[in-house]
Amino acid sequence: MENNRDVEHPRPSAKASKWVMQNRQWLEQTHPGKWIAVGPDGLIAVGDSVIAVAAAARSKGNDDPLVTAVRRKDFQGVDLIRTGL
Amino acid sequence: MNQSFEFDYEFEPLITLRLIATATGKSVMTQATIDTGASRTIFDSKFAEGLGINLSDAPIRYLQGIEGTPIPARIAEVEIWLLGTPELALVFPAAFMPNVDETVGNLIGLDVLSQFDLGLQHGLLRGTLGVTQQ
Repeated sequence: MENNRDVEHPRPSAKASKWVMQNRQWLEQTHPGKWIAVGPDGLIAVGDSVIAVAAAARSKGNDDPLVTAVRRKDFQGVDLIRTGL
Repeated sequence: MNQSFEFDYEFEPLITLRLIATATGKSVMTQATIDTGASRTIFDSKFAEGLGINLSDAPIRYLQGIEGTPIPARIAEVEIWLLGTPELALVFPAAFMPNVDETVGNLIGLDVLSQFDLGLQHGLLRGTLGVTQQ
């Protein structure tokens, strides 16, 4: 494969995404089932909805965080088969 | 094959994307797993709430999981930027369902992927995306 492509990592959202991937186990242990807002340097806010964590991130000066949910305990460590959805 | 954009992942092809409500213009950055076994792209309903999309009057479409149970989803038009870039943008009717992101996670299905060239080197946990040239 060629190497002259735009890679994802330079984008700020990619740094946040990489942080989530690298800290997935810690997040699942500490914040299962919660919504999180993440910036390039890590976790900004934890809450119960997209609206709540986005607002908390805005109040801390980040208007465009990565927003996602942490897997619930009953879905952790499960091999998911999504085919057919 | 257009392989303009490259991404790395761990475990499964989870990518960042910008989700934009065409009705309100609000947007949010989030993540979704590329799933070539899914016919439909699915997002958690809480994203609709956050983007100001009113799902109560949105059309319902029943989706079927592998266990066979029909699951109701609300359909609303959104724009997505795969990898967060407007060069990989698409407007389409997305399916919204409750309790998705904290369970199976948001999914990018074949409805979206039909517009893009997708390459996966799963052994290297690396992928490429580009707009399909017609």
